[in-house]
Amino acid sequence: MKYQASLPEHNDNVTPGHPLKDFVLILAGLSAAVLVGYLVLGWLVDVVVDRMGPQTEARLTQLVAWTPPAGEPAMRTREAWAQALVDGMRTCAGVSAPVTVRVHRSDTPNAMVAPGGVVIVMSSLFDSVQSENGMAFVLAHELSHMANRDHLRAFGRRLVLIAAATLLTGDGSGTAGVLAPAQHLGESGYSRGREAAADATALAILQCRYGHAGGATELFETLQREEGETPALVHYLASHPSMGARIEAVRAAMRQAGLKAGTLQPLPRF
Amino acid sequence: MDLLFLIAFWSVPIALGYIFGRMAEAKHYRSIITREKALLGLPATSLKTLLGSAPVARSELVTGSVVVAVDHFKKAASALRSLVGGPVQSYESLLDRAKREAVLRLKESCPGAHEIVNVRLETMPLTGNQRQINGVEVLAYGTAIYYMESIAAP
Repeated sequence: MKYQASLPEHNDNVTPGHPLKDFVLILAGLSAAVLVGYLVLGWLVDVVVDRMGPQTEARLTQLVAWTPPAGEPAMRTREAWAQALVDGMRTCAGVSAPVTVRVHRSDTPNAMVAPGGVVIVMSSLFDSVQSENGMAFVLAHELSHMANRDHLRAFGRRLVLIAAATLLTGDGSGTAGVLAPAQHLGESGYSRGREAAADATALAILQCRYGHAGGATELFETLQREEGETPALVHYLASHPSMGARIEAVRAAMRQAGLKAGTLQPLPRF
Repeated sequence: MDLLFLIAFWSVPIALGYIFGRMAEAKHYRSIITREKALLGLPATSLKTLLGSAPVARSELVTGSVVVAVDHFKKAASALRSLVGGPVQSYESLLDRAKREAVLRLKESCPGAHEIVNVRLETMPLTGNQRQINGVEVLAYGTAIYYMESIAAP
């Protein structure tokens, strides 16, 4: 048989079809699966956290507890004042465990809660509120996170996320990153919901402590003045609701619950 | 804000890889097809025996190798494929090009030869950090056969 040189008419070694179609289909399908999986597992975390007894909560909290370093001497008076304020609101918030307040020197007016009953207050927060009630609302918001067990929810969700990413890729490599936007979208919506819930609980705490809910929007109003308005898309993706929306939501919640604003307690000079 | 950065971090290299990778691939295929036609007269087979029957003047080991980079689009497409399974189309065209280019370079490395026998292909991935595949090398090697000129003409 003689060898006949010729070229094949078709290239059968490459699967026909547009490469983008494949890419988009898989990406969309997997993103949807990740979003649904995250929502379902996140919901399960919520169910577990809600049903957990106080002893389990205390044991779990102990696992992730954090011991704060001693505060700066210059911040002692503010710390003592904020500590007294928090202690006065603990019964109203339904937090039975002891809470430690630390004032941290920072230019960002913010407050946060760390596992183990630690509330960290940034020093510039004292300049961003005009009254004791304004500060009380911020601290009550942090106490609400504690009462709502939000740190355990966040912890559970993070655990779910890491486990899922490792399962999906086997080695935690970059592949999971392609699907991260879907997860982020699910998380930021959830986080905004938790913040709004904490705002609502904080109002009830203010009402319980002072007999009125005045001063609740002080910090948000200061922040709104300082920041100006940012584009809507950024807010949609952010973990906290926008300032305007928060002020509006707090006012609406006050109207709905029939809460009134009363006389504000002055903020002591530090 | 973080998310926008994250999306940009992922999509920009993928988009660049797609645009430039597609352009490079189309250009490469055009070149491969013309050169394959031009070199059709030089048979390259995996046989251990010769196609011709004329006395052999000389033979030599010849090689042709090519390294093709994997763009980010192909990487991302294959990463997604690895989660669901199925043919990795983006790598199929990459390896198809690489193999054909290696054989073309093999043929181009021995002008004047009458045939190449015992052709073998070796493929190896070029891996970087974290076992990521950055490119692929395909090496073609074989024995170029030169017949005695006066009686070689078919």
